[in-house]
Amino acid sequence: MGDVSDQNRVETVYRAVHPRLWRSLLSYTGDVELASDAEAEAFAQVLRRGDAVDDVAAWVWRSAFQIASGLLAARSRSSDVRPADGSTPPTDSVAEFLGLLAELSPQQRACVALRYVGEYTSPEIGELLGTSAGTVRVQLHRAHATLRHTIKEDEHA
Amino acid sequence: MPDDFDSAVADRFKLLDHVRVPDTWSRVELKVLDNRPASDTWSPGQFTGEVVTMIDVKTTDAAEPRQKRPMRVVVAGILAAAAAVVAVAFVVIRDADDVTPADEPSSTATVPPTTAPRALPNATGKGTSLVPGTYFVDSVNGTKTPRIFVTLGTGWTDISNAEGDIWQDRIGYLWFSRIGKVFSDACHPSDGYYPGPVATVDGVVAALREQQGGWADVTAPADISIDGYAGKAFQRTAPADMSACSTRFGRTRTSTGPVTFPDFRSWPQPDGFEARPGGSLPYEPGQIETLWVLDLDGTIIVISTELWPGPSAVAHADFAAAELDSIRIERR
Repeated sequence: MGDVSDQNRVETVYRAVHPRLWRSLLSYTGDVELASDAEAEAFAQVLRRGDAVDDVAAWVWRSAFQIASGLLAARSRSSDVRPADGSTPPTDSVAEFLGLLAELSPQQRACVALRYVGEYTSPEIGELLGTSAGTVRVQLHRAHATLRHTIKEDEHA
Repeated sequence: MPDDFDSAVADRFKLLDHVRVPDTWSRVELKVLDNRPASDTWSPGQFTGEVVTMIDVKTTDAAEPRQKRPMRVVVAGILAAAAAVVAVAFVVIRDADDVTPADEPSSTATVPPTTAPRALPNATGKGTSLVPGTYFVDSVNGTKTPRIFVTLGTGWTDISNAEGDIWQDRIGYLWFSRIGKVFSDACHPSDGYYPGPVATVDGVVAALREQQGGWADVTAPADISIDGYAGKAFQRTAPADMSACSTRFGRTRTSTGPVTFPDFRSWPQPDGFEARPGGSLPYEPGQIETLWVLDLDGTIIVISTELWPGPSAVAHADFAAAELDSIRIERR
């Protein structure tokens, strides 16, 4: 019966974190399909690990971003792929915003996604991404500098 | 602390609050159903060397002690169970004369309903086996409908999404949907939509039958009536060769990792999202679908059985018969 309780435990975490995690991954990847797949893969992996994972939420957040990073890298190597309809954000304004985020480096994008959608603090982001809080702050600062420029351009367009 | 620009950025991010979040739990379940050993899975550690520094999470996750015991998939044995379903003729369409009254079990159902019909999503949790018996849905893509009942034997798994409108086993699935638009070309869904109206049974049937994309076979529509609700039924077979189609990147039902695969899709639902739950079940080459387009008091729904290529024809026949021959719709 432990398996069932593990599944219930993981699904409970899923229901609790899913909207924030999925939107964070969408911010990071800019792609509905990749966000969905990274999240699902992270939860599938934690399910396979059973009760070996104590803090499911932290494990999933960390893994989902790493998986998403790998997916982005894999996609960039796949030259014959174009985004499909399912990868298109539902509204133009969201698509435009994700386009702005695409101007950031992957590191910066991960930090802002976790900061503004995940609602994590810099030390927490550092913990999730395996770096220091200071590094996260630097990345956020650089992200702001880039976004300040692109948002101004966007507003004047 | 973040600079003054922080609140401006935060405001921009609030745009994402309006993005509809798809329920991806069914996709999680599909991945778990693969039940690959962790060492063979497409794990975070696999990308460690490729990930930029900030994302390069320590490999402690990948090196985490192997689970004490692999998660046992609750729905194990589906294939074997499906094979145990009583063999009956494949039912493509059915008219009113063939419909068994709602209070009588179908002759093709392996287990007659002995308890009250149960709602989907299944109360015992998604991803779990369904107890043989009668189930119902009473909304389709967010719109209330008369209750639609189906009597199932063994071997079924509930992978319902939020609306409780889908479940499947390893040889195919049954899906209740509504149609928002129809892609003009299933092989190139980004090319646009069928220009005609799809607000009537005839409009939906025309759009689906005229859909481009190289369908291997599309049968003529037949009039059906399910418990007094009129509609049309027909069958489509996806092309065996989808190599000329647009592609997308991600995981498929059978892949062990992200791959490039044909982007062959037919329709999005009115909410604009993928026609398949989580966007994870594109048509496969040779997939056979039986479509019932019904008018339920003004709401046009599509009941489709999707049969994946691979399993034996007998399994296909069992699958379709067990579903279609038991469907009944409540009169209001």
